[in-house]
Amino acid sequence: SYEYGTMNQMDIDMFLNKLKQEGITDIKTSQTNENDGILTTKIKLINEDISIDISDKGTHIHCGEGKQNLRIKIRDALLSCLNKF
Amino acid sequence: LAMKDGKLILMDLPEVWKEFNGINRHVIKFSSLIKLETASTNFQIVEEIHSLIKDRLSAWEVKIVDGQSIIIESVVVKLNEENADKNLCVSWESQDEDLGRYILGLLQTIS
Repeated sequence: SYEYGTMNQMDIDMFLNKLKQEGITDIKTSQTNENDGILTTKIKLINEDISIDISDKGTHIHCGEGKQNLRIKIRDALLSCLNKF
Repeated sequence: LAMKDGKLILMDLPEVWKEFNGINRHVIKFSSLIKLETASTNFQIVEEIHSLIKDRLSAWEVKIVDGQSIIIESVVVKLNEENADKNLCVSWESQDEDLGRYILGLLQTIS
């Protein structure tokens, strides 16, 4: 399946709440304008060596070594905030 | 197949949605790192990984790009070097989850 649509602030808040429900609480968020001028929300899981970049273009989940179970949890939380076709 | 400007054309699903509904795909991409401990040269590492993946996924097109990346569908295996440390960054888009996870698991066994 393909995900579509954008993550607005309300969707991002819902995503962060879902992460907290999964026991992921060491979360730091910030917003930046990337080189191409696209507003990106950066989410860092401080103790987990994982960062998540969300923009209108999409979401990029960067994982360190051996964090696959956590990656799947983050992916499922994100998918529940997006539409699919 | 889709009808556009009176012609039948072949489009993939995300293109059809964008063209006819004005809805853009939200691309979900994953990247995972694998540290390498090896005395091999970059050329040897890329060749070895390319052979391994081609051997296991014989029905797939496995390409080497720029001498440091291997591409299979949306899965990209990129060799990085920082100081003397080498690592592989394995990334893929969510529609290739099974393929990406398989290649990541395969490369973790050789690191």
